[in-house]
Amino acid sequence: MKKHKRFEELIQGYVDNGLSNKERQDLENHLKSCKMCEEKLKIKEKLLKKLRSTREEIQCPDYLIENILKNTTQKETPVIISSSKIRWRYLAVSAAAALIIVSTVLLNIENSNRILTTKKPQEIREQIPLEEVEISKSEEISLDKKKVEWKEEEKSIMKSASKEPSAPKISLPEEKTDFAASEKPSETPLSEDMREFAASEESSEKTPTLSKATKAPTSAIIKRDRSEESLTFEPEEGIETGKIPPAIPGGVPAYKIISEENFKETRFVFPEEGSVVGKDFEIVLILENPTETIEISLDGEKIVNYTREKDSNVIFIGSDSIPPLEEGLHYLSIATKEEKSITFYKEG
Amino acid sequence: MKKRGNKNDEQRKEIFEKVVKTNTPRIYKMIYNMTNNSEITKELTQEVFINAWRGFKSFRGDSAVYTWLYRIALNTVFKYRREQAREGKKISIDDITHLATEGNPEKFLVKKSDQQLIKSMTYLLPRKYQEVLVLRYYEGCDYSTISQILGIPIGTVRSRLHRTLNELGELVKEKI
Repeated sequence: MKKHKRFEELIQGYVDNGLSNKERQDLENHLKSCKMCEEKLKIKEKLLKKLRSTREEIQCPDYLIENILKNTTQKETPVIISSSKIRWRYLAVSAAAALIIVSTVLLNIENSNRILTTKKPQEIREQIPLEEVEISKSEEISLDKKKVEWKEEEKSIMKSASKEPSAPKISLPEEKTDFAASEKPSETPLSEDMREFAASEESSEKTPTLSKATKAPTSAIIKRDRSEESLTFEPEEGIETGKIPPAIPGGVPAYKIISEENFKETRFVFPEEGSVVGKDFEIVLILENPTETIEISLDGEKIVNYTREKDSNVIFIGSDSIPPLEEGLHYLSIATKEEKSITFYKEG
Repeated sequence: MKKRGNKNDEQRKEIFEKVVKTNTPRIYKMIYNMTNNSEITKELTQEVFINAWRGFKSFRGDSAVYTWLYRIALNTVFKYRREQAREGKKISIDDITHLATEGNPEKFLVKKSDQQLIKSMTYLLPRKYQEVLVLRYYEGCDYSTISQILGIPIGTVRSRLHRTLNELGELVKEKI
């Protein structure tokens, strides 16, 4: 038995090419006369063949190296991003990262201890398939007192609302993902109010070409109409339309540009799908550009108390830096003043 | 003195940047083979290099950089798993099999093949067995390199691999 035990280990060395010449010779001589060891060798070789075939030759994404460098050598104090702290999937924003992000957030807050959970995560995944969104703009974008809803069951309401001439609505073109390219007003049917607004803005040099077709009232409910595979913008009930107050003094009116087909990711669902977020949670945003100046708002309220080290592309928003969240829909927006385009892309 | 310190810092940064560029693909691949999840792999790969950068000052160069990184990567992956386990995310065999096919759902639909099953079984092995298995059969390290990475004698590498395959064979036999 002892002898066999020795040869069993030699078999291991044999399949791994890890034997000396003498050991190899010894084993080969033994195998000629021992059926049991020969059988063991065959079994091991078979298992190894299968095991090796499970190895994945996967390529690492290029931007990962850049991100690592930004978080190590290009950073004065390295930030430890503990995987356990990451409650939100990485929000990787393109190098040119002026952006507006509206996150549809379904928070179910259990009364006393503020436990947040995702509501029907599978449903959310189906509803918001995010993949790639490109938005161009040239001025500060912000959202104010706006609610975002994505409810399929409301499509009937949407249909009837769209027939009402008094209900301002913008249907975004299905195929357009790059709004800089979408300049034809005819592609985005405007309500009367919006036409008025667009006309009043024609003289303004500042107004981005596109915003004429995409600006929506500041207070709006963004709903999804599955039947048309597009998003529509509607004014919130009781809000005076036609006048679009600036979201930030001196800024341009808030608007949201997005189309159905762009939503092919659940990246913006918070809390992360299937997870339970306790009283103390943290949202981690990672921008590609560490020098990007941004403004973050939650439900239209500017968040100023987030953590971001100087010239860091990592932003931490702790639950203690935002007001208590009520049950319902919430959204997070990030705004910048620079003219940029934004791409939300799916990793992997 | 201060000037010299800054120069050293600059050199250190330069060297580390080369280390990152050269080794990220290798570490990424290794972690992916241990997690089968690209999101987690990205997180953990970043964590490996952030930790490496923190310890780079004290890295004496006794061993090759990549063996040092492999060691950090193994620690990072197992730390992550411990955290997952602590959070109560126990993984069943089915979950593991599903994990092993993540990104290739069609494979999963067609058949839970023997290979996938074998891969999922590797996650059930004790840490010391998984380490040698990953380094030898996924990373292709020889006994001597594994010995350096894990700080164990070469003879132990061979006997550990032998026991690893025996154990894996037993686990697979139960399932296939």
